[in-house]
Amino acid sequence: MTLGYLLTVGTFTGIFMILTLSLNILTGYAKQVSLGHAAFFGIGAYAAAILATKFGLSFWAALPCVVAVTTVVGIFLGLPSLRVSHDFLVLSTIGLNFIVGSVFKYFSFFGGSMGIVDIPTPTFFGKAFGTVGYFGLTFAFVTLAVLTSIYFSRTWGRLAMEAFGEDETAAKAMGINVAKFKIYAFAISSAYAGIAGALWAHYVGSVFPENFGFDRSIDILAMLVLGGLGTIRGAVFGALLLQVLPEALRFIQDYRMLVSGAVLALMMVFQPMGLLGKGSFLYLRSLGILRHFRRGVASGAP
Amino acid sequence: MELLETEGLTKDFGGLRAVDHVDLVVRRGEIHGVIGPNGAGKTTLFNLITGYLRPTYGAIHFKERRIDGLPTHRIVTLGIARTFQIVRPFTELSVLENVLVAWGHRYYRKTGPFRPYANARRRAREILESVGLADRADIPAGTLPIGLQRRLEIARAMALEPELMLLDEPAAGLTEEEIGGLKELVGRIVATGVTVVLVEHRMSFVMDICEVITVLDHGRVIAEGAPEEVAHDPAVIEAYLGTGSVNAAG
Repeated sequence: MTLGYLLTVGTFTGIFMILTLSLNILTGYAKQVSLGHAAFFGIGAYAAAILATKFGLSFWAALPCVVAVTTVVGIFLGLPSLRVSHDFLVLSTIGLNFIVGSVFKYFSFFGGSMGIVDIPTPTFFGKAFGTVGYFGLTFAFVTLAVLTSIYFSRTWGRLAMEAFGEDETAAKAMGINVAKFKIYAFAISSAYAGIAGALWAHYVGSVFPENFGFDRSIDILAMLVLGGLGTIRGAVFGALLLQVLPEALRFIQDYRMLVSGAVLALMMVFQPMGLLGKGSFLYLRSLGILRHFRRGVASGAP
Repeated sequence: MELLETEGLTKDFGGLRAVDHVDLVVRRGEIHGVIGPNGAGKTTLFNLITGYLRPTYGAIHFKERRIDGLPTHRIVTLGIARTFQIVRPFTELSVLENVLVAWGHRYYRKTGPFRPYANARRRAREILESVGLADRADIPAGTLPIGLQRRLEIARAMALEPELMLLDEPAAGLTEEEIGGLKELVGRIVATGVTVVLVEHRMSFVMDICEVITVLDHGRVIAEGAPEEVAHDPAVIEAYLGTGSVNAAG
């Protein structure tokens, strides 16, 4: 196992952390269950790829445009949520994967099934990012995503989203414009997904429609649910676990899907709030140990 | 014009007329009861006033402004708060956060949603203290017993700082002792200048605290006036007990 390999795994893990934090706004707070999140990710990646190869924009110049494009398309794709909810919304978000995937595949502007290749590596003051540099770049964005998520979790917007996510009728009686906040949730979530997409496109150097399919959407949702829906720690931890674990368990490669399926089923039965979610066993235990440790330190002092 | 006035308010559900030409007038500072047998249209009336339903005919004026057709969240910010007959706390949020969600009504516009709410915690805690829920501020609202969930409903309505508060069966499912506390709480809310309209089945409660009572039956107003007048109105007795009971009682 070389350092380069570890950094590559780390970079992909970072990209998925941004994606789970993104989905946490939409599904964790606003409870709009999305099984189409890879579509938003893909729109970000394709926007970055096109701006870099067809318009010759640098990673940095293109980034604001990528975020803007993903946000606008995200708002548009979020409009069905104003008419359908719960199971029906889940079904329509599954549809998003196939619609967006088909657009990438059948329009030559998006490279068709040949995808878009030769996306340049970003540079910083004229110097191209190496493996180490890109890992650093990714985690700078992960840090940014975590900090902005923490900020958002302390705002009126998060409270409003959690409120209507649980009960739209009661939320309206609290003065919440539910339609507006649903659109906010899709917009914010898409903006994060756009950044993740740009990082992916410039790291891998190519984008293909299959990179952003339904199975990837399931991966992202599974990470968030496993870590703990509605919590930032859960989003980060879930992405880490489901990206690193399969790498560590390569020897059971053939049974990978079996094992992750079993893990998810057991989680649903025993810890539906996720490993580090609100009131989960692991989280309460670690709080307890922390408190015990603090008390120990306090009583040990002369 | 009075605080709230409805003119010829009518709501049809298919062939059923749930509310039938109701002219309700609520004056500032009063406690106004709306009573009537099951299915009389009381909750439908509340749903019309708060914008959950659109009237088939008629108009609703609040503070001289026509509000029928406005979305619920706009009506709330204009100053009408309501509670629900079947309590609807945000069960996964803490008791304190429930009150904060209501307190936030003034921040849900423009850049408000992107500002932190930490500064409002103290005010939300004060509201919880005034309804006697301060010691449960940090537990999930879903774990409160029903009596306290009703208090939380009222706490959220208080946090909306309304001019008009609509209480939908606030005494349902409460013990006699809890009703005593509720009376006292409603009294305190009215003392701060809030006008209260309440729908209720517990007659003793309504008779005790209301200054004006409107009686609905089959969607129509059949009587209106002070509690003692209404209680002796033959049409009211008939609506509650059925035809013939007036003679039997008399």
